[in-house]
Amino acid sequence: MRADPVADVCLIGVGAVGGILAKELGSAGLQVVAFERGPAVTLEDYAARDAIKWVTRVALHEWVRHEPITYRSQPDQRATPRYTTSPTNSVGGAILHWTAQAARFLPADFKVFTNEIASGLAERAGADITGHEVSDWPIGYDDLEPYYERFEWELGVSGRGGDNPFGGPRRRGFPMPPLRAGAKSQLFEAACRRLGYHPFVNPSGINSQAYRPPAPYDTRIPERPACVYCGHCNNYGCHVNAKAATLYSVIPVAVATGNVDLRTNSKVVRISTDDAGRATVVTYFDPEGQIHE
Amino acid sequence: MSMEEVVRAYLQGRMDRREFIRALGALGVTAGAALSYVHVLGAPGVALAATAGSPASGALASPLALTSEEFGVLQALAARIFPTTDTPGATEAGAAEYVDLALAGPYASFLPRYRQGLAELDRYAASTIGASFAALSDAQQDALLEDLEAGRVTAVEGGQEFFRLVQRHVVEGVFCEPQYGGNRDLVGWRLVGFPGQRYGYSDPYINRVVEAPPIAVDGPPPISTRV
Repeated sequence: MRADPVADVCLIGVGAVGGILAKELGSAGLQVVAFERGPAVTLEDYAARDAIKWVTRVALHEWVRHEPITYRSQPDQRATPRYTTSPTNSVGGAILHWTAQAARFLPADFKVFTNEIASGLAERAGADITGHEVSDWPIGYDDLEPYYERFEWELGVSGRGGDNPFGGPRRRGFPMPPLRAGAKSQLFEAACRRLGYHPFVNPSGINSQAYRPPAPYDTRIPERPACVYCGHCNNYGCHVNAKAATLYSVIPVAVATGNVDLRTNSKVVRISTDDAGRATVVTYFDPEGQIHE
Repeated sequence: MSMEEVVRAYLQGRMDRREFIRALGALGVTAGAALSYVHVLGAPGVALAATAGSPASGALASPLALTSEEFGVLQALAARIFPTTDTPGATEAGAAEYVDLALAGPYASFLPRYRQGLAELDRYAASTIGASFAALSDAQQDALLEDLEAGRVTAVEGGQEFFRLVQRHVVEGVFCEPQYGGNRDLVGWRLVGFPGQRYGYSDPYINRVVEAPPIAVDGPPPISTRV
């Protein structure tokens, strides 16, 4: 076992969240070691327009057949291997191939217990919630609103603010207008209007025009091009990098701070804690299979 | 030329065998290294076809994973699952070739299943009708496959599930990207009017039927991003 130097912060996984945190922490001057069990990938690795590879054979998830992850939904259950619906195994994570539906939670989503249980709604509807724990979030929509805004303006989300009649208040609109509506969406929208509903364009983490975050957002994030409407989003990486993903937006900025030591092909296997329960040491395998602490 | 360009040129028939080997020599790589590179490119079957000296269109001199007998049953099966009518079917698309190539690589875990299922199906045909499956008439094959699909052929273990597996793979073989050995000459995409996975669509093409012949890959070479 080799002993590695001490860092201010260890990140385990460099995907959607880890990528954003790496930029924030590295920019704040903290020494960050970021572990990613998968490899670094380039556009050639993830963006071939190849349905057999990405959809039929789900190449981005292929690794899990060799190294199954185990899963349980209750503490007393036995965790069993799962071979499907796994996260991507590379720098950039699952947000690299997400469908890019980028709607905010509604204010009501934060108060499910108040709105649906305490109000008696679930009981009146005859819902059996035995064995389920339902509670309100400890924070509300207003607490998250500024962070939603930062995500939308730094990663790039297109949409039209105020469209959703149930949506929460927004300090700012979207940085880009909505994407073009597809023919099916146009039909659906017209049908909904005839029925008296209020259809709106769902915000999308896809550039509707070339985009680079303006001040006061992080202007170090590089410009990315507009969507070319190839029609292949989910399961695919974007071959023009128009999709909001950390791989080619915040992660390069994180690495450029010089404070983020990104260790690829490095799988963390144990987190050790001190007497107070604070995580102090991580144990991981490096690409050569050496174990480190 | 980079190795990728050399390999692509050879696979696409823009370079003959001698030029290919000479170009590899200039790059200082062996044919073996180039072929393992082709494997990384995702076209192992095409590469093997190319080394065997056959055209790079996906046609193989002999099957790679299955025996010739097994492959014959699979071809007959595919021809009824996606029949040729006044339009092309699994035979023209090379769907059985696609399945065989896949069984020689990423679908290798299905190979024992195929071996057993194809052999049992052929034995069942022989014992009930007196001829191998491939020798039956279309109507006889269809009747047998209807029974198989409905789970009535107990001589084929897990017959219903086996039929669905083959059906799924044959459909993949009709509509796949051609570098996987099926959808030969893009017949599958022509059948359904799919223009191929285009680089993108500009305004005049959005929300309209694209009446362009399909193409396998188009667009500018990808830009590179590395972190």
